[in-house]
Amino acid sequence: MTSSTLHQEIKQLIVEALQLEGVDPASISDSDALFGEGLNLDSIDALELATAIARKYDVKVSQDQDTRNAFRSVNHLAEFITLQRTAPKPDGT
Amino acid sequence: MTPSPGTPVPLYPFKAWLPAPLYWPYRAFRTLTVALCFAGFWSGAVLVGWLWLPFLVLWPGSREVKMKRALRMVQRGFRFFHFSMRALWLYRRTSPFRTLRPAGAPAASPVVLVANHPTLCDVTSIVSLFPNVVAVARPSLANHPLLRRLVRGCGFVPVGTHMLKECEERLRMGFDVLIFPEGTRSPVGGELHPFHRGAFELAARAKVPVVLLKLTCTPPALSKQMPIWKFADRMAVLTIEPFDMIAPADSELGSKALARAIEQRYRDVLGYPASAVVASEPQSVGGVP
Repeated sequence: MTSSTLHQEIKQLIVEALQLEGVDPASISDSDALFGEGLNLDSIDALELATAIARKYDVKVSQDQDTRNAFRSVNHLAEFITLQRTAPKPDGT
Repeated sequence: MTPSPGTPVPLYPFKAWLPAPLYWPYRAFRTLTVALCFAGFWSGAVLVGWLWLPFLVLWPGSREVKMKRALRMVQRGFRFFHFSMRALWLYRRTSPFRTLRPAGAPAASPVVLVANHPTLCDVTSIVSLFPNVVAVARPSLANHPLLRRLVRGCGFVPVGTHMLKECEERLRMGFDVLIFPEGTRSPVGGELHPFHRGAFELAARAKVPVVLLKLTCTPPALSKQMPIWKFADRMAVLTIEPFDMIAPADSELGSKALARAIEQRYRDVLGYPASAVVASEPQSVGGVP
């Protein structure tokens, strides 16, 4: 999968998981802030998005600083997911 | 120190008429008693959590029964803490109401409690006065190596990814869940932090009513901007008043809109000026018209 389709998927996921009616996934820019400004998501959105991403990409979303950084923008999220997927899992799979 | 608008409450009225050689020892004594109360509180929490809680948890019973058992113990601890603060003429909490249900509401069914957050001891005050109230705890408490057993054992919910799910479970168990939508203590002097919508989202999902509590503390005490040695000369009195209940059917607004509406409601009830943020916020979420 190329990275741009991953970006598209994430945007699609954001809109679907958070039920942002009237937001076109294509209108979300890769580098825009998701929280506070830009899309202006809030704490509950963060929870929902974290759950949706954990489920869809089978990655572990914890509450450390790295993860918090990952939710800054679509770019950061894509990077985080790619990194988590390529990193060897503890059980060796 | 910024007193609240309207009726400013002097923090240090004794300074004017008590001679300095008496006043300053009085201040020193007061600071000492505050420090003593909090030292007692934390060491008590650690001791109880490690020495007594294990017995309560090992004693047979379902998870819910164990939590209620632990919460009752915590409640007694909080009562003792408040008794000491009252005896030392520091801080006292009072409520003109016997239950946290505004007139006519069934007392048995659980609700989400929402409140402004003027002092450090709001949670201990509410939990000690009313039965079966659990609060949402900040992670630094809920994950504290010495305190986590106690905080989680008595049903408090850590802020984090599983918070909503856990709160829903507590409501099903019959606890009232107390959430401060500001996320932290309110600023002193007629202001509120913007409300988060978590509490309202929780109530909508669990289909339970939201009860709005008004907390007022005069003179202001134990706020985030005040170090403990700035404790007022007089006893601070925290008043707890449930002033409205919002049934789940009434909240057809989304939780975001509801959070903003309730924030405005609090400003009205507390006599604060309308929020500059709310007033200048026609821009909607994510460009939704």
